[in-house]
Amino acid sequence: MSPNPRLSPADETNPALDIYRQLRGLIVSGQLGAGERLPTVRQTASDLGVAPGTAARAYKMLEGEGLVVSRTAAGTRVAESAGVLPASVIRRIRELVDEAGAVDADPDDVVDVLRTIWQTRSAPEPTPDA
Amino acid sequence: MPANTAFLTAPGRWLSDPVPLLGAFLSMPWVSLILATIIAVGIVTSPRWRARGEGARVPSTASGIVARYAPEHRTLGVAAIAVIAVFLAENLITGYALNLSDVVSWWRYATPVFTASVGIGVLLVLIATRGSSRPEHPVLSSRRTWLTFSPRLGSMGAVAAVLALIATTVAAGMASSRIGDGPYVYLELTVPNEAIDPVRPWFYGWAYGIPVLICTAALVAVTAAALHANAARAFLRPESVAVEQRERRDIATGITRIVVSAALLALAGAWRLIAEAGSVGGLTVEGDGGSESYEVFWRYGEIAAVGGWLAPALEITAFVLLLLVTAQLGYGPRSDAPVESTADAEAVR
Repeated sequence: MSPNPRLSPADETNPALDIYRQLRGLIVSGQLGAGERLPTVRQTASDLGVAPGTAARAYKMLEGEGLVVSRTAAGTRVAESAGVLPASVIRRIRELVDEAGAVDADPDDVVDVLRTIWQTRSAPEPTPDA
Repeated sequence: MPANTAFLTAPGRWLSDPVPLLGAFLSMPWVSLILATIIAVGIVTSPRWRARGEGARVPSTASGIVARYAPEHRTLGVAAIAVIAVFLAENLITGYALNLSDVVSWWRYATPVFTASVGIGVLLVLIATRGSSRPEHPVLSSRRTWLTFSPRLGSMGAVAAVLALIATTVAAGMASSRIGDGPYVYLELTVPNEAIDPVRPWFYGWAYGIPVLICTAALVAVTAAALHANAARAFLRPESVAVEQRERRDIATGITRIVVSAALLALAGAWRLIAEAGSVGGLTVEGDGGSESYEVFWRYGEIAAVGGWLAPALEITAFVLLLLVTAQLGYGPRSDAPVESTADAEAVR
């Protein structure tokens, strides 16, 4: 998977390329999980104040790179091979962040506790002799 | 068929048995409202609620956000008050000020659903106009649908309440009957093994149910549209995403609470009327040669009675939720803390 699609120099100022980079950033940073649906072309166009055709071109670039898979009924989803974590895990992480934000929890505390719980669960069971 | 018919009653029953008295007391909406107010005050003064409220307030430095979302919070608060006020006014006016004993007040059970539809409709217009301005600095985020900011428990509650209302309305409509070409407002209870006219108490028939179904369809449509519009609009700028997400979650929660409340108020009224009709236990036929008593029963009478007992609980729950929504009238910025930024925002800069 190459970091950028093959483009001519004139494309460097292309808004579609900019959108492609932003979406690619969301995928490779793990903010969009494997198998998760991307925003609709219409939503992306509305969010960024561009024409739907421009957003659609960005989606085509992502598809060409193998980062997303488009199916007629299922929309555009992050390819299983491209996502850092499954969509179900990402969804729960978002819920955790929302809940932590709602009670004004410190993000560092949340991460520390998460790591501690993870390590506790991953630690081997103590043997009766120990 | 001879002369007079009268329902069997037990004189002095209320004095010896306080349960019917309690039932009658709880059948008055204003009693439910008083109980709901006490519960709502208890909730909003609880440390957990106050901590959440403080955490959720918008930083004063988040300019533009307050201007964008304040009218929507206020609209939700006003809509909640309107649902309570119109419901109570309808009950008081038709119950005490006007004599509607022979009038089919078809609007009665549809009123809270209709008022909620209008309130959420106004909110939808606000979101689509003032609340959907172009972003100052475009920001891309994950997919947002009408469910994105809706509370999971609240959504399930709203679906359950609306489905219960529709199911009750359709089932009661099918069980109802009419006299000649009149409206479907009767429950026909036949006297077994006797050649006498059936008993026909007033019932939650199609005459009441069709307006409820129409208003429920409108409420569902306008709610889905409002939740979608609330979620789909663009964020103002990357650093405001977290705050805006919280605002949208609060608005979606308010919408969901109003929907649940409207459905529960209509459902409570419907269950009460059904229980009243189903509680008819017999009739006395008085003729020249004396009087004779007959027993009648409705096969769903016991279920209807349970519904009648649950009705005040539904009404109180509805009022509590509406009163919690009115707390959004106090929406405003907090005076400390800078605007937060999110990982989403950082990623797209």
